[in-house]
Amino acid sequence: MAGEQNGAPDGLAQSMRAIVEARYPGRLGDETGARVEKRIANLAEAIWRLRSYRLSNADEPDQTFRAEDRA
Amino acid sequence: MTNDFAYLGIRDLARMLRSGETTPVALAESAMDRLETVGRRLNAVVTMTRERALAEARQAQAELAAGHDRGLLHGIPYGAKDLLATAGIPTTWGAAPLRDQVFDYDATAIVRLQAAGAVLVAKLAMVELAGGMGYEQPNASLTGPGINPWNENAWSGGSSSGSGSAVGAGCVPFAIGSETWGSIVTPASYCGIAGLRPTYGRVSRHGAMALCWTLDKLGPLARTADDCGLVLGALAGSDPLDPTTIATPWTYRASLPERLRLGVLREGLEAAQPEVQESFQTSLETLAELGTLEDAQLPDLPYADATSIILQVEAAAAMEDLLEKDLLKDLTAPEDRAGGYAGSAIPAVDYLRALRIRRHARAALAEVFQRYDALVSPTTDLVASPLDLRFRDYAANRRGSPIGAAGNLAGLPALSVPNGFGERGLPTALQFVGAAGSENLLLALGAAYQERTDWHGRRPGI
Repeated sequence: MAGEQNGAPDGLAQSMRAIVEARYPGRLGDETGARVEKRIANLAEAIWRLRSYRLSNADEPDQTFRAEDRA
Repeated sequence: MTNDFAYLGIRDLARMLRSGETTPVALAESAMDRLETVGRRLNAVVTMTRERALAEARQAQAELAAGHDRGLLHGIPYGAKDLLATAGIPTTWGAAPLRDQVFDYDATAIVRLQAAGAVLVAKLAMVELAGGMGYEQPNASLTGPGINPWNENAWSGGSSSGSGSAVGAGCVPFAIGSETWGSIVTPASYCGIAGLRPTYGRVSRHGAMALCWTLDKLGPLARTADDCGLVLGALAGSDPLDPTTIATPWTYRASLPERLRLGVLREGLEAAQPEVQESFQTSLETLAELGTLEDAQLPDLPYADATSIILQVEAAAAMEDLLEKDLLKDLTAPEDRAGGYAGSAIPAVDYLRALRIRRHARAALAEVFQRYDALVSPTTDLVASPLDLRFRDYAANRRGSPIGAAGNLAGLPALSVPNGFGERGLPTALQFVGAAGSENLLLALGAAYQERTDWHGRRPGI
């Protein structure tokens, strides 16, 4: 993949951890917390790899909002 | 089912029902007997639906006797993955904290099968919350690990574990499963049966547990490709209760093009188990009788990362209620208790980035299907893992084909059929992946392959 790079900055995982702590207080202090931290680290890497994929302003998300009443 | 009925396909059973060789009630009774014994032993059953089954079977019996024939599924017993809502019957989502959850309505898939005259005999086991919390080993369900009918020390696959093993063990001729990323084709592969992941939106998700709204699909697991087609024929269609369903009606009419072009995916094949490679090579020789084969490559896109981000974010949102109530702590697998939290912290802009990349992936894969009618690859690189091993330890850092992530990300249909046996006497399988909407072609391919092979006719010694 063009532009691929590895190694998410530590700050990304730390920010994500802070969000989890704020949203779910007291859930990160034990064995479960250690697992969550590991997953955050893995997801941060995935996020970082996706950020190296080039997109333009014209690239819209693959989901379509429609205003018409389809009921 | 008793040995008279176990392992028979839908067409055989339908013929026997119409010839008077058996009745819907007898079929339902024998399916429930086998589920209570063999199915329970394989941890394939969550709830028997005996009362409902007998009522539906009696109705089918009366209708068929009166000449009111609803089609080939009329009077045929089946099981449903326990994430499909069934009125008044527990729907656990495979999760211990939800063991008493009961809905007051039927999922659309259940409604449609009932309209076709099929008889629901059991709610079948599954990996808790359809595996979306990140399970890493087989013991991740309130009913225990799904056990493989071919080797009781092996896993049946997930997350549609009970659907795979109940069909594989001849308890029911077909079952309904769901796939977000691998959950139909994997148990089908591991249990030596056919499994069809339909195009996203082909089957209504209304009443099915949502794990990931833009990736979840419902589909059949059955003895043959043909049986999968018959079941999809009953399930498919638009549904006002699920706005993502495809508006175009779908009819089961399997057919192959005059000049069939198959793209052979070999990426990751060198890391597959030797028996998986051998089975695949032999399958290619059979498929060469049907059309041209050419090595193919998927466009280089970050399929797995994009699928993972979409799945994690949507699962965190879909399971927000369980997270808020701290119910995940009661899940069976310790690793599942950590599910959802990490996904809730993924920045929105990165979720949208994954959805933007998904559009590129869909377009790139659509181009691939300008060159090939279908892609073919092993369904899984490994046969079913031992019950006591973590998946990571069994896989030993193998990096398989990206077609699973790519196909699910783009909402493409896939059909898995058995194609041999590997280590510990466990089945290997072949999958066909097609363009969106190509189920009839995939089913025709699967049927043509199965006309030339007998792997689907093998029975486990259970």
